[in-house]
Amino acid sequence: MNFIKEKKIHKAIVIVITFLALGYSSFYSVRSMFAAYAAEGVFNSNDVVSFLLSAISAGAIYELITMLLFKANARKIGQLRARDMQYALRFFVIPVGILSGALKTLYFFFPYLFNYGEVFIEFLLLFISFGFYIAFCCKNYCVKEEYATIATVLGSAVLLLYGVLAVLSLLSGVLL
Amino acid sequence: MKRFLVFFTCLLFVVLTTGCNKSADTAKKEAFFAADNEVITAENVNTELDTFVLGDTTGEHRDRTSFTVAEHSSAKYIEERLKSFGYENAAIQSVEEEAISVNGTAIIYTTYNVVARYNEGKEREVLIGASYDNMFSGLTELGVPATKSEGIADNATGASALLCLAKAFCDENPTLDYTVTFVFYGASKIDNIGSRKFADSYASVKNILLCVNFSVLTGEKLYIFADDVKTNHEKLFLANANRFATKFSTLPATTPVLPPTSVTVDLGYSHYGLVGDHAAFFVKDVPCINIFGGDYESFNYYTPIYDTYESYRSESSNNGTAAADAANLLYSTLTATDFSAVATTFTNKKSYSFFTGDAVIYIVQIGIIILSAIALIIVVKRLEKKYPRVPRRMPKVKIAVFGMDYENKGDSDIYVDLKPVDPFENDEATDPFENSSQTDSNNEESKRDDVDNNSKNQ
Repeated sequence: MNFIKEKKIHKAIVIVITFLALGYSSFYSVRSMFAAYAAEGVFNSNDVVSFLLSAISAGAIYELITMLLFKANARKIGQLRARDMQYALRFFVIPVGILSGALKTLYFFFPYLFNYGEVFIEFLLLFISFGFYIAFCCKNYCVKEEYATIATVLGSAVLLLYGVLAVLSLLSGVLL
Repeated sequence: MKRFLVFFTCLLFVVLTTGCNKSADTAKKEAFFAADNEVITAENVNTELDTFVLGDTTGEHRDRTSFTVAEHSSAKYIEERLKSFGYENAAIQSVEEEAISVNGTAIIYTTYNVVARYNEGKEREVLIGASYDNMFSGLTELGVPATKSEGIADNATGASALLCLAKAFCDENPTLDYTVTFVFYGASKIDNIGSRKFADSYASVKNILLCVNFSVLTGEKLYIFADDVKTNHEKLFLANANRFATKFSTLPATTPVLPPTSVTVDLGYSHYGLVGDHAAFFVKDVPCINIFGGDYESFNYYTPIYDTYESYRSESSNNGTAAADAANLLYSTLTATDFSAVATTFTNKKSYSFFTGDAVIYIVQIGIIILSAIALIIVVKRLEKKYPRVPRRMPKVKIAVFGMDYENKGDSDIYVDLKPVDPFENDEATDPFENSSQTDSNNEESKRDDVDNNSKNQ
């Protein structure tokens, strides 16, 4: 994992791969939306357009959220270290996107899995991957005395984000 | 030789019995489906469609916009047509729906379902439906734009096929132990209001053996959708469909899953097979068959067909064969000898209701987040205990006014030692001026010595 700590891969390349991986993961929901627009006669498109737009939108949202999170916590963890951690996070998000997208091919055979799949597949994979990410950051960017602080900062950020999203989804999708 | 004969006899026996079984299966299938089942021809469907759309004594019905007088006129035409076939019980059912206009005012809209029954009065029932409306003129109060589409493919073909089917039942008069209900749904273009209200009118749907929907019966290929799991009724229809010129198949697995419609909101999703007037019965767990056409295998996603009578007729594949084959498929299956017995197995399928239902998903997700937060707190506490954080304080600058002897040298602060020089430290008193004159004379001597040395060297 030295190549992450030593930033051997150029940042732009990593960002592009992140966009593609997240696009693959969110492809099915974007495809669903665009197919519905086409069926209503609003806007015609196909899977290629769906994939490109899902990559751009998912990637942009990811970069924006992580930029804000790391900037907000830069004082606690240090600005330089925050930048390094932001770079490293992408390497843990890329496999999540790829695995999630691959698992979602189950929708082709079991369309009724769509609801559960969209909520749980990416969510559970990201939680597992984020656990490894916290361990990686502690080992590579911190002294032992800072493990607790780093785990708190990173863990609480992602839990808060997903907690807010889940509550909003429950309110908008079900209760309202 | 003996062994060879025995071996050959056994082999022959195996081949013959296998062959017989296969042909027995085919014979069984053919015996299951009524022998003479081509009761509706493409010409029948075309004639019915031409009269419906281009008009008769009641006028033409190119415009069948939902909730309008034009739709009512089309409903009256269908009712009279059914009565002319012999369905005295054919009737228009008015259905009212409140909608909010673009101005924010509530308006009551009326649509019309047309219902006729063959073999009325039986306990069990098979429903066959097709919508007949379009959005030709649009509904400005609801913000629905006019499409100027005469809705020939979608769904004058389905309505015409259903009329031909109703006529066939009357003419052929098959003996059945269930009622066949023909329903022509109104306002299908507005959230399938006609079919939703019709489904809601049933106090109990448990006696409905099957609900069939005809939609967009055009082209060389039609699709059959029953459910997202394997079902007996889908197998039955697909097995019977092999004999027709039109290709019948299931939807490709790669068709996209769509967001739920207002009818399938409890399912949480939809797709092309679930879009239709049968959906209102599907969500009530009635076994359904949707027979529909459209292009679901092209590079682009499916878009609705906007057509006029003339544009529809100009395409050679729209010659009524698909509609006739769909109607014949249904007639032959429903009038099959053991259909009633087989129909009791239509509800045997794998249940996936666990995966449908929204609130549970988000509650479980929130539960996992809470558990993860608890796990994080436990991990952080353990890390704090194992690797306690040594508080680092910034060193202070202190001035040791009385010297370092009076300060705590063990801490990490920075000390500036300002201990003064003791003027009384030296025992001998010193004349400050004495020192300075002595110093001057010493300097002069050293200078003289330097000059002497320099001259000597020269």
